[in-house]
Amino acid sequence: MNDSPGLDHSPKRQAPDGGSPRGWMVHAVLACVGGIAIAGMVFGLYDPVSPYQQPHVDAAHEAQGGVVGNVPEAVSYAQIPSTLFGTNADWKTVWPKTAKDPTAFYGSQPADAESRGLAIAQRVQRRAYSGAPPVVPHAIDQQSAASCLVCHGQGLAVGMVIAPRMSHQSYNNCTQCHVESVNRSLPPTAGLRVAGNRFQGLSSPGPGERAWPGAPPTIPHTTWMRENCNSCHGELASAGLRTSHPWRGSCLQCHGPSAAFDQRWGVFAERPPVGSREARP
Amino acid sequence: MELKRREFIQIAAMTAATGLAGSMADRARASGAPPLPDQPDIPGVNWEKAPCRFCGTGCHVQVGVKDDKVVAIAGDREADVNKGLLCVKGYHVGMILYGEDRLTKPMARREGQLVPIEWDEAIDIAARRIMESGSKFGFYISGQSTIPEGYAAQKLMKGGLSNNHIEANARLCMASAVTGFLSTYGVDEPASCYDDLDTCDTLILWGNNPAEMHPILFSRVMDRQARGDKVTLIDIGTRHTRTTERADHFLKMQGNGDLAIANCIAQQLIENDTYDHAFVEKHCNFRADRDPSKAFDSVIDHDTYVAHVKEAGASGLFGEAISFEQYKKLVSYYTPEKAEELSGVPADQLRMLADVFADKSKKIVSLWCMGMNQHTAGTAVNNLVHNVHLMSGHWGKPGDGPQSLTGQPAACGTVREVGTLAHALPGGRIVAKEAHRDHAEGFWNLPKGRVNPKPGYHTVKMFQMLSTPTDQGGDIDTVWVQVTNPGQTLPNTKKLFKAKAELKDKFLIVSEVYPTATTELADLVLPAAMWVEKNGIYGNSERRTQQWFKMVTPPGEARDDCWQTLAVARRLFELGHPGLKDKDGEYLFRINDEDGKEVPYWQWEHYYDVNVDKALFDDYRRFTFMKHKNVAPYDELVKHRGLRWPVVETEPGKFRETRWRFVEGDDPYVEKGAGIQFYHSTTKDHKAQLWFRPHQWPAEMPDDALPLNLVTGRVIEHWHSGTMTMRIPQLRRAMPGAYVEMNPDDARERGITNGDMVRVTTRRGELNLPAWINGRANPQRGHVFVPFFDESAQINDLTLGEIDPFSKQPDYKKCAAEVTRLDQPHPYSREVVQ
Repeated sequence: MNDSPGLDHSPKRQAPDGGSPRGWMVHAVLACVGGIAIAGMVFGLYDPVSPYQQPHVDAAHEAQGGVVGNVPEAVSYAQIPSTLFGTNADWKTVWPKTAKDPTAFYGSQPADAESRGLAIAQRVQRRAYSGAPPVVPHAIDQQSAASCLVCHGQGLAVGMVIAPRMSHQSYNNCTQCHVESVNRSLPPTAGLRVAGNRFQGLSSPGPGERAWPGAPPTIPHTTWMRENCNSCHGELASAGLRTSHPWRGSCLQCHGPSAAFDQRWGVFAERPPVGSREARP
Repeated sequence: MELKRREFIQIAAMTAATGLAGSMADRARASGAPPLPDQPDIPGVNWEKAPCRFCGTGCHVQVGVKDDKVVAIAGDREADVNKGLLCVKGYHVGMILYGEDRLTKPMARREGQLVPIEWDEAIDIAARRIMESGSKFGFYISGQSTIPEGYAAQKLMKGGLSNNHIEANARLCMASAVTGFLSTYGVDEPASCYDDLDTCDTLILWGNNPAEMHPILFSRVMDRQARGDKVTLIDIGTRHTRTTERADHFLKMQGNGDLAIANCIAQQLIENDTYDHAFVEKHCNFRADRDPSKAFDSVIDHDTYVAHVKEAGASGLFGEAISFEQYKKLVSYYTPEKAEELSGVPADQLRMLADVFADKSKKIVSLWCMGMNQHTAGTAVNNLVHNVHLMSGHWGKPGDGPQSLTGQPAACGTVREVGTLAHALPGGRIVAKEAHRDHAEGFWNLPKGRVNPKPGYHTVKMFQMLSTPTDQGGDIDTVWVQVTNPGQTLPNTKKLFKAKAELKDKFLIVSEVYPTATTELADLVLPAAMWVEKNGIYGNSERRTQQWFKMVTPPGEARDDCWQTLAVARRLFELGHPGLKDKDGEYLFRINDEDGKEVPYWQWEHYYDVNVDKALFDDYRRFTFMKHKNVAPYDELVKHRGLRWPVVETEPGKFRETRWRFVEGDDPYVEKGAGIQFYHSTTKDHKAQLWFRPHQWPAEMPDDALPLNLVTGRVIEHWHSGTMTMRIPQLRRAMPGAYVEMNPDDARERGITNGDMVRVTTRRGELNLPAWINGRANPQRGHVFVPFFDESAQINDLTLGEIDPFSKQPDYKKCAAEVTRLDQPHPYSREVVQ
């Protein structure tokens, strides 16, 4: 740290020429108090444990109005009730829209191709392959997973920003599988050799199959670790993936899962005798 | 005599076991799982089983393969270990194959540069160099080598070249656990298994952070809590970690405090008379480095004993018997107050911990890994933790017993079981014992005397000899490194590895998948196939042997490590090395096809004409019966997500695994009515040894100049030196580089704030790193932590090369250090932002 940077800012005062000794003392005391206050403030700002911001943000999250790096300006207490804070400002405008068109709220319109494309593009961006645990597009608590559940336990939406409910049963150690998309605490150290990766993951599934036009589509992806359909298809989901009938609670009643996505199967396949040429890919 | 007894036990066991409910797997099948569907039509994606490539937990993953490429990974729901769940590394494990800079062509160093050469030439260079080096050649493999890779290397070195300089990086990782098991039970590897985590009432973590390092096992317990089970977590460590965050009690200790803590538990159990009298009487003897009764007339006190041993020296790994009275007197020194003074843990917490052990109604599991193993008193502290479980009778019941964890996927399978260490032979044998050499020579059909009785150099010594000039006694001139990165993971790497750069007569052969700190100094680089690009077998922390098949083609000219070893062996044979022939003049590694015709598998195009893994594994399997570590036959492993040895044939073609060793009813080798029987006891009386091991201070203590203690370790995103995980974008972005973790007060005193560039200094060097305070974890005052995964900031240039006297394992957790703020502000520190 610099040499006491706060002290450099402390006002330097001398007794004015011809001033009374008492007046000089008052000035001196005031100077000391002021100096200490300013030094305290500056030291406080330089407190080693205070977090610092880095110029890294998840572009997609940001585009949605994510709060990362988008801290609203401070206002006076008096102004708080009338101030719209960043992302949350949007919610007011959402309600009038749904008032005019209630179906927008209930979502009885099937998602259009554009919004579905957007939603899938966002999914792809946060997963190494279809079925991979998504990375976290915002800063996390490095030491405790408890804070994850505040939003992702039941799911939450503020304006356009959605914190989806967990798609799987409540495992208890979130950061075991979900890591930050970008480490916001460390500088992006360039290793000696930062190599790219040519992995091409299993692509996102297309729409499910329909037996005839109008028939309920089958589920086009595995349901392992995605037991909770509402996580991606419920009311708190991106528009492009939202069901048109969220009030129907029993999804599997009409939408069939496919054994094709039960990857347990392969292990029990009859395989050619061990060691033979045919056993090889 | 011994043979007869063994046969008798085997027959008895088979008879007894036949009556049991059948194999674990069968029980799982019968438990009402719905029948599986007919073969589904999966467009293009084929799913196969494989153990995860990373840590010693041994999760099974389902690998989705399409068009000869891995495209997806899923947790394997049929796997006992992970029950469908993985950690973030496991979910991204498929991506390790596809880093842009995969090595795809053999390279030789010519005029300082690595230039591409053909495989034939590469094999020739390696073989001629090994031939020339003779006893100056060392083979350094890995706890990530597959069992067949390890076995091939082992047989080549000890059976073919009569050279015992073969080591594996597991020396740096679990050697102290091995010596702990050997000196306590007479035989290596945990008696318990992960099933205990499903039923324990108390989980004690000895310097262990499973939330990051063994996440699946941690979740196995945490998820029980979430379902309403009461499990008490007691964390003993030097940092507040993600594990501590979930713990009920945190015992914050100083380096080497674990020695005092475990001794204090014993002292309390005796003082309060809460130890398990029946268990101790029936199953335990007492032991120490020296038996004082040989030199003194009466029992002696702690300080006299310590002085006596200091003078007389320890009597080897197995020590000497002492009386209970003597043990009691020695351990009485470790009162809670004394232990508080030595460990920093408050006496009240120590009494609480002792009370936990005194309570017979609660089941206790202890977990440990590098915190106790990377320790200059590693063997001692391993003994002491076994002690407290044995003394309190918290041993040998489901959910009740000590469980040592390993860090690598085949540290147990390849290193401990195949014995790829300088002193060992397969199946728990040692080169120093004539009978054991005879076994090996018999199995390998070698002339008597082929196996060298003198142990080779342990890891630290091998690299010290490689890095020492020949004329100054550096009598290792060639090392072949496979599946590991000693350039980054050895301690004190500047001295033990990087010094080799200046020694022109030394030669380093490296089989690798990516450029690393080790290939940087290599004279010959052999591009390797990895994980599901080859057949393989691993063995995890709970004695589980796991097999997988090759699923995709390796890139370019990358080839299996096992093929590389066998191709060099064949070339040595062609060059006329006498060791490559058995006593009948046959080739040492001859493999026949079904018609009895020799397969020329050393030619790469014929390598997969026969399953070489199966041939080697079934050859190795014969070694495993002596110490009752019977592995299942290869074909049986194909059908399962691993089987825990000893796997015994209960009826022809039916195999049963063992969950709890030495325990009647589960371990078929325990005699009827014995209850618990330590049938490999070093005292030949079926008893385990309770050790007296005094507290000792770390090898390097903080002082005025270097007032902090440096701890190194891993983070959840990266595995070991990051060769694989740093090439996975999701993991690298989440954890881009090394950092110094500091206690906020230590940082404040040094004027260091989050993100500042600081300099870490030890007696061996210095390293610049960003500071991270209140980040991933919080060290206690006086401690700093640096992860070792980052090849651009190699903390092992600074660590200590001191080793445990028995296990020869280095201590990476304790050395004196100082951290100072660098003058220039960091690009992201607030000075610049403002």
